Amino acid sequence: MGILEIAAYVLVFTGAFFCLVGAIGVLRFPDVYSRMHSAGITDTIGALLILLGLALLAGWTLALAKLVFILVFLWMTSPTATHALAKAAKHGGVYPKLADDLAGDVAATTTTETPSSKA
Amino acid sequence: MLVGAALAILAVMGLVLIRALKGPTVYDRILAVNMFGTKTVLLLALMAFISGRHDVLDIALAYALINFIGVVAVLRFFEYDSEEALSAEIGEEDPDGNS
Amino acid sequence: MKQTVLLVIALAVLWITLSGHFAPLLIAFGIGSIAFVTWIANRMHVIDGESYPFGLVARLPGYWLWLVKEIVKSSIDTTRRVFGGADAVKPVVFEAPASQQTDLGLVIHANSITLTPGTVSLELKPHTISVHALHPDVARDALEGGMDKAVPEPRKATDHSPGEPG
Repeated sequence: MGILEIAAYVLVFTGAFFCLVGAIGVLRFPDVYSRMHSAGITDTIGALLILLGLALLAGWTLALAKLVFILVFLWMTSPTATHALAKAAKHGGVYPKLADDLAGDVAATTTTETPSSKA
Repeated sequence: MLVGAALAILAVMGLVLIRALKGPTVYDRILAVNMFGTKTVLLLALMAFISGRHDVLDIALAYALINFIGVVAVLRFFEYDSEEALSAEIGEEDPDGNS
Repeated sequence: MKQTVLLVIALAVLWITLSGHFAPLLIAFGIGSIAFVTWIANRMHVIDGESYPFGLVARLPGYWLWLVKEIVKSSIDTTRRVFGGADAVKPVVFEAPASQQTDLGLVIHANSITLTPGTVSLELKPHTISVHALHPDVARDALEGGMDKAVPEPRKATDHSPGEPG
């Protein structure tokens, strides 16, 4: 196994790790708005590392260009979708829970949902 | 090796489905479904390299676009779901007490 | 006219990269698609410097490198907050200054804020962007990060505020 391949696998697995972290965050965080941050991890650094790792495996082929296109499309569309979601949630009457009124809430969430996040 | 990463992505999709089922608001569900879609794109990209058929990347590319358009379309549908929000939008800017 | 030519070239490059085949039939399909898309774009009157900001292309790679660095930093921070206790998540909404003059510049700025984990832009207001952050510390880092200065903008901007180089 060449050094390039090892680097590729390290990148792919780090990306997969960040995706898992994002998924756990989506389960643990208290409201839609904070869950968006967690979803953002998987969409940005998770996608970047996995596609970068695959790009190292692809070498200088058309597959590399396609991976770059996928990354560019994901990075252009994901913030737009997130913004549309935030706007829709706000218009739908769901407002962000802020630090003050969350004090009891966070404790509740972390105690009830810790088992699922440890799994 | 890449199969392991693909399994991790599948696990992510499973976890996200839990959020999609639990809600509690419709926006949580849409967020989860959007995330499920982007993870599908990554899974397809991994599948392309696992199977050695790089044409699968075209499907991943098309899926990325369709997923985005689908999510935005669903959000347009739910944006003015509640009449209260619609009248607030028409009458006056929404209360700034939240910001 | 110059914009149209650039659009045709960009579409041709996109077609060749995605297909990778040079058979006469497929090339003919490509030429047909490019002609169709250019015709539609022309009919919609969207061929201008703003819709296809080719002038911006040269400055994007540098900006993307900077953005990737920010994304890596804040991803690690957000990862810590995912596994952190009750103190790790204290959402706040703050106003980030946005000095961009053009719509495109503002969109790039708002999208960059959303791309960085830990901050999500909620609403564009005149000269500011309303941002939801995971924690007051994240908000402080974002304000000190200098994203407003780093965002590339098409040169169309009419007047710059004094003291700010174009």
